[in-house]
Amino acid sequence: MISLKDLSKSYTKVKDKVDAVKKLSLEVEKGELFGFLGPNGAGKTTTIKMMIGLLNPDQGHIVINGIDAVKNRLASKKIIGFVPEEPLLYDKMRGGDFLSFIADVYEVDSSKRRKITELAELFEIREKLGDSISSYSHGMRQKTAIIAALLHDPEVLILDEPIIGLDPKAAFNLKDQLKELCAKGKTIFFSTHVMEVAEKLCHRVGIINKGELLAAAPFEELKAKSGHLGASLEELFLELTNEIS
Amino acid sequence: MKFLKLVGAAQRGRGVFSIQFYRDLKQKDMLWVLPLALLGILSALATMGFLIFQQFSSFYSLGLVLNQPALPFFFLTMGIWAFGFLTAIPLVFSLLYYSKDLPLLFSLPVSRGQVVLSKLAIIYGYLLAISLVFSTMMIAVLINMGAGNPAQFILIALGGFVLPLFPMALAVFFVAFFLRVIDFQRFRILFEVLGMFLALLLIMGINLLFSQTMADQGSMDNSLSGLAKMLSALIDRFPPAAWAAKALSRNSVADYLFFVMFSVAGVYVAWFFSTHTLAHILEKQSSKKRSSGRGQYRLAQTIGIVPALIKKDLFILVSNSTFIFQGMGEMLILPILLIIYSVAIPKEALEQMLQAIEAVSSWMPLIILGAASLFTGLTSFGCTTISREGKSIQLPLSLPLSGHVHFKAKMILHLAIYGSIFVIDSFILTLLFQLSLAQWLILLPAGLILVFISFTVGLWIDFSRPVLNWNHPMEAVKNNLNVLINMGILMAYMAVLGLGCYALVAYFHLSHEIVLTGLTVFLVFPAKLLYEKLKNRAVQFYSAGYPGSG
Repeated sequence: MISLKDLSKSYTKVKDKVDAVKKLSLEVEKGELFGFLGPNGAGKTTTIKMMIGLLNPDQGHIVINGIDAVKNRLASKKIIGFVPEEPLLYDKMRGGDFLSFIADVYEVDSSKRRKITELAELFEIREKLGDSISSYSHGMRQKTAIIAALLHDPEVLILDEPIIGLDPKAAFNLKDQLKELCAKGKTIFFSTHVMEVAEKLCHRVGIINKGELLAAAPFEELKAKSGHLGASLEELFLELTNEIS
Repeated sequence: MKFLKLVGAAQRGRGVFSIQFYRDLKQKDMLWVLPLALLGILSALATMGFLIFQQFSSFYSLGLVLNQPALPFFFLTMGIWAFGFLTAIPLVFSLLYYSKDLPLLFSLPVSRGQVVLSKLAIIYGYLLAISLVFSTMMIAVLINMGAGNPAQFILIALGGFVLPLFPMALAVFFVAFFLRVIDFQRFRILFEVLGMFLALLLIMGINLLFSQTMADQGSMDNSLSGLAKMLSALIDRFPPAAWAAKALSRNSVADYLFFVMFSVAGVYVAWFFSTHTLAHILEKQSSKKRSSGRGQYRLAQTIGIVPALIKKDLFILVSNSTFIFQGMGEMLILPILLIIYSVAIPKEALEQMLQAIEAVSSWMPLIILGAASLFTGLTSFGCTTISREGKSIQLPLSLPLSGHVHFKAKMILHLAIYGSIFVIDSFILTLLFQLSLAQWLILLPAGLILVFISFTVGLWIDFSRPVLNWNHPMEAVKNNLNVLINMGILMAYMAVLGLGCYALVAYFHLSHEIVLTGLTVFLVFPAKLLYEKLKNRAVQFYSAGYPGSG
């Protein structure tokens, strides 16, 4: 379970203070798939970076499966799998070496390492594990980052725009994996620009704009609240973020 | 003149020479790093300048004795060309042919020629710095000798601007040739290291030629005439360098024009050639990316967290030629210098030197400790450990590992590399200066602790101001102010320690063995303190999140 309470983060750009996230509070239940939507610069990645410990919040609390992720960062990182917007990989390593490195750091037992090859087969990069990452396309890098996030069987999965760059089959497989993980009781939090994916996949969606959470509810509930029962998520999103002219 | 805009954008993008860089420092209240960096720059320039000054002074005197006034100018030209060529090879590779911004630049409405010209201008900027140090030292030698005139000084100064052109053009051809003929990218590191060794062989060869010519002739007169003949032949074999030498020594306008035209023509042809080579390389790169995998991959065995982190740091270290070149140079500099001197110095001179050393033989353990510690301490390795990771440091920052685990891995790697180098360097010096094994064993612990201290100082600096948002690896090492700050601090620290040891021996008449043992015991305390402090600093750094993100 993920719990964010009064989360705030601001940056100083030259002399101006920019509020990237303002008093954001939300909860994602165990076994839930939560979609985090918002226009560019809305504060999605900043929120995610605070959740995984790449940024410190100015205020507020982050609790992941009962662990205070700000005070007890290492314990929370151990149970999180993270897929960043730009895959964080070491280019000169071979794909397989990189995944072995991640397995070593997360202390994945030797007997469980065949998961690397299983996932590599699922995402169709098994044959490429012996190649240097520098030769990978963006999609292959994304697949490697996804495998790295999944291989230690995390309780909570946080993904920042994971669909971008994936081919249709890999995107389908990823969505399938996410559903399967949810069924196993894992908590999944992911940001996306692809409304269709959020609409079809997520149990609930949260919409953030200018650092503020505008809504967090199941899609059907959002439609009912807005009074547009026939509206698509895209239309609701544009309405909530005031981007309909 | 769109290429000037491209140069400006590249420099602003790199940051170090931009106004924004200083604004950022001011905003972070870190302007204090500038005087330290200045101290480092001045120390490096003073050392380099002094060595060049000494060398040119000898060439000037030799030129007078042999009645060859062009001799020092010939070596000025050859020196700039040799250093320029070797410096230019990795620059041409990474800034011209494999620059990361090429796809962006080629998508802009700018001609390929303008893009190449902007890259050449940036490379020229780096070589110009080397050239100006050399030519300024030449002017200083002339002033010191009471020779030369204002017109000649102006010609030499202007020559400093022209001289980097030819080695740059040559490097452009050299790299382009191999890029077209073989899979240069695959053997790139080998080629660059090979280039370094070839340069060393060249220096050793020249030194050997000198010493052998002098030694084989018997009397002093014969030696000098033999040397004069050899140098005349050498000058005749390199007409462009001879034009430059004659132009600068005799203020000959015709020779000056020849050498300027030769340099400009070289750059023009290189520019033309590399514009076409770039297209070939881009084609080759994209076809390589499309190529299929190498087959089955066998999963690696579990190796544990710290070894995995060490392996990761090693991967980063060998991830590009800039890091390898820098590291290799710093690691091997002392053994290489010793080999050159042991091969090149004539036997008689070496015997005289050893006799002179005998007079200060009791100081030798301390001198060896100082020399080996400086060569293993004043490096960019420790103070760019974090910077080398660049933006990819977000990965270790997102891992469930405490900062002290990362620190431990970095410390082990540093001590394994530089500790071994200290042991080797000090052992070679011990053999060369005929110290006993016991003396070597006494200085060893102090040296290893100093290696550790220099690592902690460097890493502390890098934790405080890591350079992570770099686009070119050079920004992480060569252009990183941390290196100069580290040099400044360590030079000051070593000077204080050196003066302390000197005072203990000279004024308190303590034996060198006692001073070395005392120094070892004394160094344990700052080392322990730094270890504890740095361990906490590492925990703080790895828990503070990514410092480069907004």
